[in-house]
Amino acid sequence: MEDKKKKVIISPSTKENIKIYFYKFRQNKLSIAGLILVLVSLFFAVAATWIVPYPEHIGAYVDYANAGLEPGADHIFGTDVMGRDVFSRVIYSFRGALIMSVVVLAISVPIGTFLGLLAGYYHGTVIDSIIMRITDVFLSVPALILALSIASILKPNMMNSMLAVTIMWWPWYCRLVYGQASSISEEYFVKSAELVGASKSHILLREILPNCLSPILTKMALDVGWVILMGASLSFVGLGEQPPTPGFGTMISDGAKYIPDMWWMTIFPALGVAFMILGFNFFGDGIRDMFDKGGH
Amino acid sequence: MKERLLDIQNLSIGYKTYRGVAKVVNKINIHVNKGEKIGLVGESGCGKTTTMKTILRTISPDIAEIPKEGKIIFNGKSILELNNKELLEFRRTGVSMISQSPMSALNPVFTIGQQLTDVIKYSESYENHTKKECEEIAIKAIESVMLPDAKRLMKSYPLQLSGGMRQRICIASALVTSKELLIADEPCTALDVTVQDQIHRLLRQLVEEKKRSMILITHSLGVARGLVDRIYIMYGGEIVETCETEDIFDNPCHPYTQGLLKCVPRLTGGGLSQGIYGYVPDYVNPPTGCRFAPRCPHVMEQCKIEQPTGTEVFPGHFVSCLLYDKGL
Amino acid sequence: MLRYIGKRLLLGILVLFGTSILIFFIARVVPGDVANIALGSRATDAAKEAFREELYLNDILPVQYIKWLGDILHGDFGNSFITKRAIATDVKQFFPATAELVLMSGMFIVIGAFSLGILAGRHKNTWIDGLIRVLSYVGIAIPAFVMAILLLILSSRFFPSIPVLGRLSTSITPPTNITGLYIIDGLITGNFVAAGNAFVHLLLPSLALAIGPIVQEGRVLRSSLVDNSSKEYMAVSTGHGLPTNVLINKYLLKPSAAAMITVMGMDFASLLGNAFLVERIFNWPGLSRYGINAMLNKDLNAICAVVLVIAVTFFMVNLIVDLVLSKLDPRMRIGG
Repeated sequence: MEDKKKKVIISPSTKENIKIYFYKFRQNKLSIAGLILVLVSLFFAVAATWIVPYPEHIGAYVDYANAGLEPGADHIFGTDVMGRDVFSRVIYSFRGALIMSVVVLAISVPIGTFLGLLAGYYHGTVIDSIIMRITDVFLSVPALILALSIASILKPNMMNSMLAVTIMWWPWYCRLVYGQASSISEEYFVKSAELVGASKSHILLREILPNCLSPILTKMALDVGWVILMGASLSFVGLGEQPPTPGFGTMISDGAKYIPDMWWMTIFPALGVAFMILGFNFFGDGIRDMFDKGGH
Repeated sequence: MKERLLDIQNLSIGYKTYRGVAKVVNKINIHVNKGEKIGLVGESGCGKTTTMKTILRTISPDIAEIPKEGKIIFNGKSILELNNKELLEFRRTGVSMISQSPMSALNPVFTIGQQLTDVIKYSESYENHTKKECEEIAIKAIESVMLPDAKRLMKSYPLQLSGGMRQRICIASALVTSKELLIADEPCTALDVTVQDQIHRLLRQLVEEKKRSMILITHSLGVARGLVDRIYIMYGGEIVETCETEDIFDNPCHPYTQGLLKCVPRLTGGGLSQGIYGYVPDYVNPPTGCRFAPRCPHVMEQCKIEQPTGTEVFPGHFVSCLLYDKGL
Repeated sequence: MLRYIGKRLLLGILVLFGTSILIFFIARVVPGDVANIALGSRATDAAKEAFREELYLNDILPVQYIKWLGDILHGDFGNSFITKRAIATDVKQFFPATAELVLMSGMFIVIGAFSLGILAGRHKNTWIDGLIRVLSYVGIAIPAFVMAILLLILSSRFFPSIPVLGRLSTSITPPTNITGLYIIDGLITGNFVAAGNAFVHLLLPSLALAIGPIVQEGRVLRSSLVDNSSKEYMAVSTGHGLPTNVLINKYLLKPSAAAMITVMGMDFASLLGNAFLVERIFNWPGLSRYGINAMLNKDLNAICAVVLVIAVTFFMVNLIVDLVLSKLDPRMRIGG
């Protein structure tokens, strides 16, 4: 009489929790605004090539006759020195920024979390010391500087800048999870799991990790904005997407040579990156309020 | 006729909540004569602390509303009508308060010495003293509450002190100036039983020495018995009985007071204590008529409709109960 | 207290050793032929070989590290491919400019964040508070390098007289070198013209770095002030009748400052990082511009040197911030 299929059971308490989460998130109007900005960003990222007025301007396109046009009816954000429509390129930049965040977080968060769990569970031992000292070493250099060092050594392209940011991003999660895991490891339910003979992977993954999830998720939501910021900083100095691919940092850098006359070349990409950073910031605040067990 | 230091007349206080206004204090009358110690006794949530905070006006008008009929008169001045400057002066010279939780009553980032010295420096009694003189006074104040090694304590931070020690410091800072009225809000609730007794005795001794007046708030009749001259029993935001201390124990008149006394476990005869059946009233929709009616063992039909007006059953002994209003 | 500092220093040295390994590793794991990249493909084979000897590139990696570390500890950071000088000389020359920039930004940040925070806290829930809140969103959303460009646009439109390049106008000679910080040197030697000129040149770059942190940290202070104002000890102090300015500026401010100062310590890392871009934009002759040039041109030894100098600086600042915090708030004291 064994079930061949395992049904995913959502317990009533989980359903209740989800309701409470949505309610708490809704409380702050800014978080709703953030959610909207995030959804819009997602939409731009996914649908860019289909919705922009001049999709061919995203690639290698030159039209000196129409270069340097002020924002107007045909080109609402104007055109740059090569004649490309700034609006289309700004919208397309959302895609690269979002891909970078997703890739960086998808790799660095599991690595950092895993190391943090290990170090936290075995805190006080050699494993703890080694992992946390390595973390300290990575965190001893300011973030952007470390990312720049790594990215500048490699060939300048999108892949390598993502690699650089990933390499310096995991230590933050390691430290975050270490703090949580080391105190949770002392709790009775962990001790009893040990006594009963549960395997280490069970303890780490099924006992400790679920209790660390809220700060991890909160930080991830906020981090999307910061990864985008770092990516823009890297591409501002040429370490990121290469021409002719548009990106926020690259466009700002290109446009910087022509200020204040062709201000639209820098202002609109700047607005674009600000849009994303602010959106994810508000969204992240909402996620934090959602998980906040206390009052304000 | 003794001179009244504090006179609360017909005071009602309502908290603004999302469900409506919670009428947590309803037309109470309390007075304190000069040099007198009174006790305000009642359960948690019956409005004692709210009343006291209203005297000091530390509750924001955004949260609480006070109908105009209520008056608080201190030394002839109407407290509820003071402007900001006068209010500051009132706090500086008139009333001091000891709060329930010594653990959070002291600022954690300043030393005891700094905090005490500032209280002294900015008070009326020591207006023109230098900082050094204020520090000397602070040291004497610490010694007056039986704490050893006052000089070292001056340099310590609150987190280095135990709860009992912190409460003594709070008592010292409340009594160091010559403000006439001390309000002690359940000063020993957060402390161990052994320490409670010491602190209560210390409090009484100092108040008598310095000839101050005191309002002691407590939920225990036993605590009040040893410390105060007169007692007010408060229930559901109303004063239900008041008389001199011993009268409460000799002649409890209000059914609630009688119930309270039955709650005290006795070593001889009596057996286990009995509680009082029922719950504290819903302040947003209080019962019409007597607020104790739902729980009263002697309740009559009339009690649910009519509010008792208060009768003087013995000289100086007032009860707010229909049983006595009607002469039963 | 001394024991604590000693422990931190020891731990710091240990970590910095690790940092040196990390940055050395990064700088040596360059794909491709380093000599080619540094000297160009047209250099002679002999030159390339000499180069490889100099950088110990013919040894295995651990040996390379040990030899390089030995040199460092003797103060020899190697030579820069770009400036062709000893890197140590370069660092000594360019460090003061960055120090002056960071110090001025820091001053703006401390004054600005405290003022904004107290202003917002005092007038909470009024339009002043709302305005400051909106400003903080602007500060979050605009990266420092964008802020720098915006400031350049604004100043050229509205204040064309503010100079935007270099530390001093070309007509002014730098004051006698005492600290390397032009404003201070100018003030000490009485050369007020130079000091004033240096200050004006410093204005835009330090504002670019400071505006974001000012508004964000001001918000942090505001939240702490608001949170702490409803604490029991504030009600007790109010009840004692202390004057309002003592209540707010002393008894409310001190417990609330700790949170903001903690954030300041963390923000210092972003400040240092953003300086790399801002100095480049303003062509500011500082260590960060030297560093970013080194990175973009794969000047390996220079990269290592700059990163190490910055790591040491960051460590010292963190230590100072922690000491200040423990003085400010006894709850944060560790040990004595």
